Amino acid sequence: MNGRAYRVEEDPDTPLLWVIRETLRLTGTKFGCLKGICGTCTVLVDGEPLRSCITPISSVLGKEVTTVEGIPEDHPVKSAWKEVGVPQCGYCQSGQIVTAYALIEKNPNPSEEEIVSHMNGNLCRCGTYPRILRAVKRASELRRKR
Amino acid sequence: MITRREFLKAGLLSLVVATGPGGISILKAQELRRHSPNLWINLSEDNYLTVLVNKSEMGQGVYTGIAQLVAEELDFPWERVRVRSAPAGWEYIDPYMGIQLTGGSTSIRHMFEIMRSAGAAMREMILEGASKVWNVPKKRLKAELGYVVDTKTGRREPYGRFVEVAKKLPVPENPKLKSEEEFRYIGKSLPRIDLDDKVNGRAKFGLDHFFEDQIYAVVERPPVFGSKALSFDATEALKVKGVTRVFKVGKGIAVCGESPHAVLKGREKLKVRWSESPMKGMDQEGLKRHFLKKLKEKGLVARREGDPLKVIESSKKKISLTYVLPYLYHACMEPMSCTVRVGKSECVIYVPTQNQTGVLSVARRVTGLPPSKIKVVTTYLGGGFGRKSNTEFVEEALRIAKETKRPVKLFYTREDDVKAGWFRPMCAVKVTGSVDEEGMPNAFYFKIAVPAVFEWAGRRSGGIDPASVSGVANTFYEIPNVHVEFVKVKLPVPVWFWRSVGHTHNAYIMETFIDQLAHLGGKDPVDLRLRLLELNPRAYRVVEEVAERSGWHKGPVEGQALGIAYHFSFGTHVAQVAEVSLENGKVKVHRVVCVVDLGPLVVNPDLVVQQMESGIIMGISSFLYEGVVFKEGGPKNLNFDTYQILRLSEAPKIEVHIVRSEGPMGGIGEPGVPPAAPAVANAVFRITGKLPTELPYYKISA
Repeated sequence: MNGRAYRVEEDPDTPLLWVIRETLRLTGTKFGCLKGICGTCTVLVDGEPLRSCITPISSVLGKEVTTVEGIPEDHPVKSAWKEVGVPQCGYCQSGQIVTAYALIEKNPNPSEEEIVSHMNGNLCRCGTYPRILRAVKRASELRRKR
Repeated sequence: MITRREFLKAGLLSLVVATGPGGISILKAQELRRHSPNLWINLSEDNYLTVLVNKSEMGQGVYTGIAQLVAEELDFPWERVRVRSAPAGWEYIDPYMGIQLTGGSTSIRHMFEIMRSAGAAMREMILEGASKVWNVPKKRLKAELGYVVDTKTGRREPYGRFVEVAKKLPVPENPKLKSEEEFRYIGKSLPRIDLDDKVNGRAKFGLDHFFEDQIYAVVERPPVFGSKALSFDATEALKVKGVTRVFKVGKGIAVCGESPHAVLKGREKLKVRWSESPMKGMDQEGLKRHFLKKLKEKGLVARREGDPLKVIESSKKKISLTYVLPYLYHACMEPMSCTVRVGKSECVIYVPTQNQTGVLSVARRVTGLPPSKIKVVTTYLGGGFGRKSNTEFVEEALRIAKETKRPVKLFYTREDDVKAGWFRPMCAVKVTGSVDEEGMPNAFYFKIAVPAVFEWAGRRSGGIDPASVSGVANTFYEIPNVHVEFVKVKLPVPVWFWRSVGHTHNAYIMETFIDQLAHLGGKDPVDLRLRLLELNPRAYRVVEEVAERSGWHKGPVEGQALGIAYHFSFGTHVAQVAEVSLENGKVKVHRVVCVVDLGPLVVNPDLVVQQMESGIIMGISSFLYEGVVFKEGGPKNLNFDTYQILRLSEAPKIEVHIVRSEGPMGGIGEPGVPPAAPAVANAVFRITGKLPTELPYYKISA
C-alpha cells in the first residue's frame, strides 16, 4: 500500500476499507455507504479505482493499493483541487481525488463528457460538483504541462 | 488538544474573551481565575498564531472565517495561522446564544466583533511590548504582517520576539479596530485554512481517533419509529468471531466487538423482538392521509391581517393548492459516529458535533462526572446540515463505553443513519389566494400541518412552532389580507433541523405560489415580485439584479424556461433564476444565477460563493429526488441507491453575485437552499403548465 508492503491477519472477507482505516490506520479513506454506491471509500488497486467497502481483503493480495495519502502532494490533481478550492466538509474528497487521479493518469486530456462520466459515481453532499469539474479540467492542463 | 496548562506556560501570549454582565472583555489567560473566559487566541515566540474556534467546521468554512478575523486585526501572515477546535465548556459559549452550538447561520455574525477585538488587543500589546523593548514611542511603531516595524528607522522584528514582555502588560480595554480601508483580509477570498489537510486526507473526522484497547459498536435500531427493543437473542451473534458483547442501549441493541467487520456480521445474526408502535403499518399513502386530515383541524393563527377568506371569496380570480412535502434525510456523507473513552475519573469524547453544550450535558448525565472531567474534542464534521446538533448518537456511544468499560468507536451504517430519523418534517399545506381587477394579489391564506421541530429539540413546548411558519408569517411581500395558521402533527417520527429548517418547505410553497398568483393575474413573475417588495429595498434589489444578471427579460434560450425565486432567511436576501429544460421527461437544470445580499461586509467572498453553490445543489437535489419513503411504519429507502442525491452530471453551472447593502450582517450557511427548489419548480411550470405540489419530483421506488 502506497509503496510499502504490509502483512495483515484478517478474515478473508473483511472489506479492504476497514483494513486500510482501522488496521493500518490510514484514515484518509472514508466510509460512506458500505454498499459501493457513493464512492467515498474509493482507492486504487493496481491503478484502477475500486470501492474499498465492497472489496474483500483476500482479493487484493499482492496487489498495489493507493490511497489519498499515496498520491504526491504536488500531483496536478491535488494542486488543481487546492487552486480551485474544491473541498467543503472534505469527507468525500479523498474518494473524489483518488478517482480523478485515476482518470488523469490514464487520460491526461479528458473531454468534459469523459470527466463527468468518470466522476459521476462519487457523491458529494456539500455540492462541490461545479468545482470538481473545474478542478479535473485544471488538473488535466497541469498534467499536460509537465 | 491544548490544555489550559500548556497555554499558561511560558512562550505564549494567550488572550481570552470573557463574557459577563458588563459585556465582553478581553483578558490574558493568566487572569482566568477571576473571570469567565472563552475564545482563546495564542501567539507563540516563534511567531505562530493559534486560534481556538468555538464553532464547528462542517464545510461552511467557519475555521477560515474566524481565523481571518483575528489575523486581520493582529495583522498577521495567513500562512502562520493555525486553528484548533475549542474544547466544550462554558468558557467557549457563543455569548449571543448562551450555549456552544453551531447553527442558524450565525457563526460569523456572532463572532465578528469578538474575534476582531481579541486580535486588535493582541496587536496593541505586542506594539506596547516592542515600544518597551526598543525604548521608542509606541506611536512610531506599526504592526505589519507579523512584524513590528519602526517607521522611523525601518527596524523590523517578528511579533514573537515581544511575547514575553507583552504577557506582562495590561490588556487594552477598547482596542481600536481597523477601518474598512485598512482591511487586508476581510473581504478577501483567502484559501480555506483546512484545504491542505482535506486534500491530503489528513483532516480528522469522527472515527479517525484511535484509543488503545478500543472496541467497535453498532446499534440495531427499531425498523418502525416509536418502537423499541423488548428482548433479544444474541446466541448466534456471539458466535461470530470478534463479537464480544450484545446488550440493550437506547431504543435498540448494541453489538460490540473487536473490529467493524465483526460487529456488522454479528448484528446480522441478531434476533430482536420490538415493541408495538402507533406507526405500525403506516405507509406513504397513510402518512399523506394523516397529514391531510390534520390539515382540516383548527390550528393556531400565527398572523392575520384583514379578512383573506372573504376577499378570496369575492374575487373573480382565485387559486387554491394543497402541497404535500416529504420527510427529508440530511444525508451527511459522514454518518453519525463517535469515539469515546469513559473512565472512573475522566471521560474523553471525539465527536463530529455541532452542539458541544449538548454533548457535555449528555456526558454529565451518563457518566456522572463533573464538566471539568469531560473532555470533548470536536473533530471535523463530514457534513452537518443541522443533523449533528442532535446528541442521541453520543449518548449511545457513552452508554456502550460505560457498559463495556472499554473505549468505543460507535458508527452508524448508512442504513442506521436513516433509521435513526431526525428528519426535516413532512408537511401538508393548504394555500389559497386571489388577485384583484388589476391582477395584484389581494389575499393570501396559508395553513400548514407539520410536526414541531423546536419541540422535538426540547427548546419549546406548545404554541406555534417557529419553524412551521418561518418565511411565511414574516414574508416581505405586501399583500393586504393574510392568514397564516399552524396545526401540529404528532407522530413518533423524530424530526430535527435540516439546513434552513422551516424555510425549506415554506420557501417552496411561498415562491411557487407567488408565481401562480402572477400567472393568475397575467403578471410577469419578476415584475410582480418587484411590485410586492417595493417597501424593502434590499429584497427589491436582489430580485432586480438577478433578473438583470440572468437575462430574465430577454427570455430563455430555445427549449428552455426560466424560473425565479426569492427568499429571506437567517438575515440574508437571496434571489435565484434557474434555466431549465425537460428532455424526455427528465428535468435538466442548466444554469442557476444567484444574487445574495448578506449586508455591508463579506469576510470571505469565495466561502460565500461556496455556500451558495452548496445550498443550490442541495435545494435542487431535494426537489428532484429526496424524500424518506415509509412502508410498514419505517423508512424504506435506507441507502443512496434509493435515497438519491444529486450527482455531478446533474449539477448546473452556478453564477453567484454578492451585493453589498446597509443593515445588519446576515448568515450564509443556509440561505442559499430555500430559493433553489422553487426556482426550478417555477421553470418546470412554465414548460409543462403543471406545478409540482408533491415532492420529490421523481417518484421514489424503494
